Formats: sequence, C-alpha cells, structure tokens
Amino acid sequence: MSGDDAKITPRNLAAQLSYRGRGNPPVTHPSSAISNCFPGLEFDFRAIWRRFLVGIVLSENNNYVVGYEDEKYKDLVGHRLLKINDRPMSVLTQGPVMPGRGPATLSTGDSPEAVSFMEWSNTIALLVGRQGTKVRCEFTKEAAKLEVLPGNPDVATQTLELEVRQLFERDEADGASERLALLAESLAKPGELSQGLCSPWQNDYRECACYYWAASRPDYVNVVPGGDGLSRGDNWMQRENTGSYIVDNRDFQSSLSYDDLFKSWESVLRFVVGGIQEPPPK
Amino acid sequence: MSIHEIRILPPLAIARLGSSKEPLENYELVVKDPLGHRQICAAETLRVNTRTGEISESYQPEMPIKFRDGKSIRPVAPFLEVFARTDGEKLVPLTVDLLAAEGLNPRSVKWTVSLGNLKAFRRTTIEQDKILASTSFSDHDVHPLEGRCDNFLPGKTLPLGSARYIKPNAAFPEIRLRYTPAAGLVYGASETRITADGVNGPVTEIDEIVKDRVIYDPTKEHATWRGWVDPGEPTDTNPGQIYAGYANAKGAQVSWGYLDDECDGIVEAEIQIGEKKLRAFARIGAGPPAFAPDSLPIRTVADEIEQALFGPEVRSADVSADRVEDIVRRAYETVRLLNTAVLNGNPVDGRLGAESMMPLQDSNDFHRMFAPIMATTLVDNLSVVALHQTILTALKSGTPPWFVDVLRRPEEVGDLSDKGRRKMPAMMRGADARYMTLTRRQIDLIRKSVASGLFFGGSAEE
Repeated sequence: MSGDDAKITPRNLAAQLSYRGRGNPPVTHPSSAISNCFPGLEFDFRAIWRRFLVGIVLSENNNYVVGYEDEKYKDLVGHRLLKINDRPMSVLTQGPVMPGRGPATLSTGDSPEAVSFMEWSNTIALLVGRQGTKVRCEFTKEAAKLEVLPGNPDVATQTLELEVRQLFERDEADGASERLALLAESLAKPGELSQGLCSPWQNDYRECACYYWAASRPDYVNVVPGGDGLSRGDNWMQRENTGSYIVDNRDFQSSLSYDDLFKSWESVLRFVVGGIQEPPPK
Repeated sequence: MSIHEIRILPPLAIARLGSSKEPLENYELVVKDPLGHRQICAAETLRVNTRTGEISESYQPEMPIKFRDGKSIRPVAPFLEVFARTDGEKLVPLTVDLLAAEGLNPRSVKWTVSLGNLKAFRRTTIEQDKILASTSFSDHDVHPLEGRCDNFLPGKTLPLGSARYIKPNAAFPEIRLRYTPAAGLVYGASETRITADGVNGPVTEIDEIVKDRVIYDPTKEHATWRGWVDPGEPTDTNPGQIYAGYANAKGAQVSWGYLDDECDGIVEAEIQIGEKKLRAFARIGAGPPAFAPDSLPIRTVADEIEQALFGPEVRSADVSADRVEDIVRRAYETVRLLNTAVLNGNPVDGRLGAESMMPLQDSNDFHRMFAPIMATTLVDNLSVVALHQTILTALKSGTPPWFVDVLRRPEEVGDLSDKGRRKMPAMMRGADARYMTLTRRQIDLIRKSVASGLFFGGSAEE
C-alpha cells in the first residue's frame, strides 16, 4: 500500500504493517529488505531477537549468552541456551565425507559435536503465543565456548524459567492494552540492527557470498541463450560486459576491487532492470 | 474529535544511501506479464520545497524512473506519518485541524531522532566506540544527524543524514517527517594503511580512500578499532572478520578502522494534550540501494515481522493462491539473477570451488565432501528459470504447489546429505549460515494451500 490509508484501523495490524506511506517508493518497505541475514544488507535483522528472553542478551548468530539486563542472570554470561520447553536450539550436522559412503556426523575442530544452530526467527516463532509468560530454558551448567549439542548426556545443564518478552509494543491508552504493529523498543537500541553488518558495507559486496540476495545484489545479468543452448551473461561485478561470466575469484583485473567499491560504489555498481544492467554512468 | 493515541506509520522504514541531491521518486511494481519482470510504473511522488520545508506538489514522475543522476545515486528518503486514534476507533492522519481541535498547532509536535552506528562497538565492545546521533526539534529546518563518538578526533563527527519536519500547509496538512540518509561515504582512522606484514615490517601506503575523511583517533586510550582483529570467540560476528583491512602474517584480518554512514534508530513524535503526553515511535534504517529494483527477495524483514506478529501458522481465511504465487514469484526473481550452475558447485573453466557457494561452505564449515548440489547438467540458469516459470504457470492454472513436500523445514538445516541439500530453497544461505529455509509461516501458507484444495478451485475457508 502506498498512500491508501482507507483501510487502516487501530486494530488492523496487517494493514499497518503493509502501509508504505504516501510518496514512499517500494524500497522503503520491509518487504524489500532481505532477512536471510548473514549478515544482511539493510539490517542484520537477527539482532532484533537478542533480548527475546527478559533479563539476558544472546548473540544474534548463536545460542551464546553475551550479556544480562537483570543482575540475577549475570552468571549465565558465557553459557549456552540449549533448549526452551524441551525444544532444542540446534541440531546435529550430518553428511557424506567420502564418495559412495552414507552420511556421517560432521565433526570439526571448531564444532566437535557437529552442531548446526537454528536461526532465532523460526525458533521464536514457536513462542509467539508465550509472550509475557515464563518458559523453561535449559542452559549449560558451565560456560561453553564451543557449541554443545542439546541432549548430550556428558554436558551438565541447568534449567531456569525466563519470561518471553513482548515482541511488540502495546497501546495502554484509556485503560486498554492492545498490541501494535510495532516491534518493541526494548528489543533493540539505536544502531543495534545494523551493528553486525560489514564495516564498511561495501566490503560485503566484495567479500561475502552475497549471491543469496540476488534481488538486492544481483549476480548474473544480461542473460541470454547461447549457441549451445546454455545461458550466457555477465557477472554483475565484472568490470566490462562481455557476455562471458567471469567467476569471482578475486581477480581484480577483471572484477571490481574493494577500493573500487569504497571509492566509487555509486558509479561502478549499476542498477539492473529487466535483467539488464544499465550502461556505465557518465 | 479528540486524540486518544498517536502512532507513526510505517512502523519500520528503510532509507537507502546515495549522494544525489534529488531523492528517488515513487513508483509501483506491477505484474503485467505473469512470467515477465515486474513493471516499474509511476506513482504519486511528493516534492518538498527545500527552502520552506513544505510539500509543494504531488506529481507522477516521468518514466523510466531515474535511479541516479550521473554518477550519483538518488537516495531513498522515506516519509514517516503521524496517525491519530480518535473517537469511534478510527486511525486517521494527524492534521493541523486535528491538532487545533485540541488547542495545539504544528509547533506542538516534538520530534526526536536517535540513530546509531555501532559497527566498531559490536566488534571491540568498547563503549567509547559507540557512534550516536540525536536531535530534537519542532521547527521545519533540516536537522543534520551528526554521529558523535568519544574516540573521534576533536570536532569530527560522522554524518548520518538529516531529518526534517515537513511543514504542513493547506494542501498537505498532515504531520510527517522525512529522513534523508547519508551519501554513502567511507571514513577512516589514518591517512595511511598497512597492506601486508612484510619481512622488514608492515608495508604501508597512502590511504586514498579516506585521507580526506579521517575522523577516528586510534591514539586514544580506548581506541582499538584500527588494528582490531576478531578474537575467534563465540561473541564474534558470524560471518567474522567482515571489516576492511589486510590479512596479517597469520592470515587474520586486521582492521583499517574504516567506518561507513549506515545506521538505524528510532524516530519519536510527542504531543502534550492537557495533562496527557502522547508519544509514538517508529524505526528507521539506512542501507545500500536495491540494485535490482524490479525484483523482491524471497524472504524479507516483512516476512519476519509478520511471523512474529501473527505466529507460525496462517489462519485458513488468510490462505490465498495469490500469496503462494507471491512467494514463488520472489524465488523466481531471485534465481533469474543467479548463475545457478556456478552456485550449484559446477566446475567452471575446469576449476572446482572457484567461487563462494554453498557446497564450498559445507566443506569449509563442516568438512563435508565437496560435491555439486544437483546434477550438474540440470542447473543452467535457463533451466532453473524455466522450472520456476513452469511452477508459476501451474499455480495459475490451478495445480497445487507440488513442491510443498521438498521445502526444507527449519529443523533440517543440519542435513547435508545429497537429498537434504536439494530441498527448497536450494543453493541459498540462511540466517543460520546453513541452507536457507522459508519462515515457518511461509511454509504453513504453502502447506495449507494444498490441504485446502485452493488450487482446485476450493475455498480456504471451507
């Protein structure tokens, strides 16, 4: 919705969420911002969940307790949250290590227990109905730098009851208490939703496998069928459009360099409309 | 009509960096050809008189939309509107007349904008590295948001854009603020930078990137951002070492102390009605432009907020074929811009793993055997795009989404078997570093659309 406020009522939260504002282009709306944040483009939106349990602060990217807001939980810093109401926060990682062999547990030096942490968003989704109530949280009994697989009988645990924070502001006017379509102020302070992003952000366009955000940061452009029936096109980051995709192996003769982006990102990064890259600006 | 409460809409607005003096005009994305690109069509744009701060006109921009002026990109500068909850359970734009009815005038509205860039602080955890900007006003001047930091050189600030309370007039009497983001410049901590640890000591060069924008003082007692190395602790960002710098002799990334002008924060509006103070706030952020503006991501911040607000399950009444089609369309728009053969892990020019992609991440993170995800002959971009076109066409013709059974569930992110890696969405990374999943709510929507027989002409409410 652009400027159509006809359907906005105090209780129609969906309409308020979809409201874009009069004169605002679509790229102002959260529906234009990626959320498979690793670490993200507009926000590292994982950070919104760091305080979802009242009293502690968690890492945005794993189950490590990085801080506390209630003195009684200060000893939890450095521990890991393994389960909430018996549901694990992470799972075992398995896959093949040799051709022709079945899946094996993928232990590494960094993760001997082969742990894959599951993102906060889809975990917290299961607790939406528990906002404002206490849930059983199983933590490691000791500090744990390495990841721990929930349910490991060799790891001592402790269970505490913590309150799930109200994720959205509430209207308390005139004695009412109604939920708003507004993420709670207490979830994140100014700067926290972008703090995990690259510094500077241009670094990300060079550094990371950002191809997972192709709608914001394209990869393959000017694509056409080739004579062999396969696609031909350009890498968005290659210096010249040749119709031959240049694999991004940090060869800065043919691809944009870090300094190109730091210095001239506005002219070297070109918009793509209809799959076609705009010509270099003059 | 009395004011009981105020709110700011949209509740979360995104600004996008750019150095042009002209902000991006408004447009709509319209699906005209079901298998084509979204069309960018002109939409009502508000022109602000830079001298008075009033909206001088509402107009339809000329097409095609201009995303840049020469080498300068047009910034995206969102408006934030104040709404009032009034008698009769209405939520209406707060206007001069509504204020007057309460004995107030536009000057009675107090705005406060508080922004932060905590990127250095997120790594160093040193309080003195926090860059914060805040300003309060009730006038209609442009208010620069100057980020201040204890570890900056004397008199130096980080410009984080500006805010302006748009002056209401007869044609546009509503109360609104416009946030204009910064230009997208890089700032630094020294006029020189180290490029490598040489045999005879550090190799240095003049830093042409930031030499005119050195604002951080690395000589201060608690200033560690220049020279910072992620310690390899669980408190690190993930991915880690994602700051500009050089690789030292041990291979660790050493920070040059670069800063950018991205930020996020809170916009507040306050009015005092008699004894009652009403306050509203919204969140804003400033990020990079969307470089493929006719495409939308498959999983977005809007999806996250919707799931948190309404839960992981969709009410039957809210299940619609259009919503399922929207998810598939967004996937289609993403794969269309991906070199899927490369991201599948296919050899390119005879080389394996030349580019960063999920099969390589599987090996890097978990020592999984390197192997392409899908059969290498099936994943050329044209084939994958055609597959998505077929799905879209099938949905349009009433065929239920067969792919519901191959959607990756959140609990399956540890499954790096061949079968597990081939689940949908494929080849893409999620927020937990492993293969991406949709939100539970998106998955539930697709599942319920099948269960309800929606695509055979059934009704979700049946």
